[in-house]
Amino acid sequence: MIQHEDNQVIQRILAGNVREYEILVNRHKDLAFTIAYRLLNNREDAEEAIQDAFVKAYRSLAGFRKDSSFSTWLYRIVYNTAISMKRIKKPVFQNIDDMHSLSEQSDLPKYDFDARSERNQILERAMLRIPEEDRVLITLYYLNESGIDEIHGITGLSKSNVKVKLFRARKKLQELVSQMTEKTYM
Amino acid sequence: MKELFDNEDEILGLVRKQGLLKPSADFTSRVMQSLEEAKAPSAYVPLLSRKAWMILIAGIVLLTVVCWQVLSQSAVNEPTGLTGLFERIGSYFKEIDFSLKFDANALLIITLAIISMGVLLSIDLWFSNNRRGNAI
Repeated sequence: MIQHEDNQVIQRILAGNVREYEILVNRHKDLAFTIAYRLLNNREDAEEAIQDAFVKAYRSLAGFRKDSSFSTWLYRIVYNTAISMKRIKKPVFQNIDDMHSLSEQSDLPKYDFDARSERNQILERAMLRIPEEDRVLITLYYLNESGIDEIHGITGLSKSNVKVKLFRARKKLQELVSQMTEKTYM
Repeated sequence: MKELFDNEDEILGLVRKQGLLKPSADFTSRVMQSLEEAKAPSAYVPLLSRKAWMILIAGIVLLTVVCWQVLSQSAVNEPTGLTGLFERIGSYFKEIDFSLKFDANALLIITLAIISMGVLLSIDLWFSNNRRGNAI
């Protein structure tokens, strides 16, 4: 449904209604930002990467072939742009403010605030200890509920490689969270 | 607290509850602003229309038929190779008696020009399809 709506918006943009691109930006910016952030670990860099990616996608919109969904095509551009930026920039450590703002975005009830914060911080710390590529796979699979085919389309990894990496990343994340929880509460 | 992380499903639940991150509030307006500097996208217009391709293909087919006819009519002791071929094509057209005089050299140039144009356009089409397919 969304794919069909995206295609209709694209047709209108190509017909000259440039402002309609705002619809696509608003629709896809959150996951695009999450993908870039998982690869770059820095809000400013992630924003810069997705801004760049959205402009690249806009310029190449005429060449978008509808054999995949617009979102898959766009997230692939985001992924590649973030990877390129990561190669250029030096490694950046996790910003404590970013972790804080991240924990605030959960919609758990207020009475559970402390528990939510603790859990999110442990999960976030565990996420930082798995490879960037695996973080993106976890994000796409569990947050976006993307299928193996879509993840393959976004990351360019083979389908079998996606499955193997996803399985390992889940296992590793589980181990890390268990270890960190024990250290925190023992 | 520990039991919250005791099985994988709960971790997945946490990942989902953590939700998507959000860029800054003015992100969309910044993107739209940067688009104003970017070249507006437009629908792909092929270098040659379908009609032009059909005419080109028809021309090549016609030329092939003429060559084939000339070759099939040639005698055994006539010169072979490219020179022989063009001589025969030249004489074929002379026999038909065009009002415009075609000699072997003129025909050679025309043939080469058509073939070259076809090859160049095919290369252009291939590159343009490939570029669009691998966008970014």
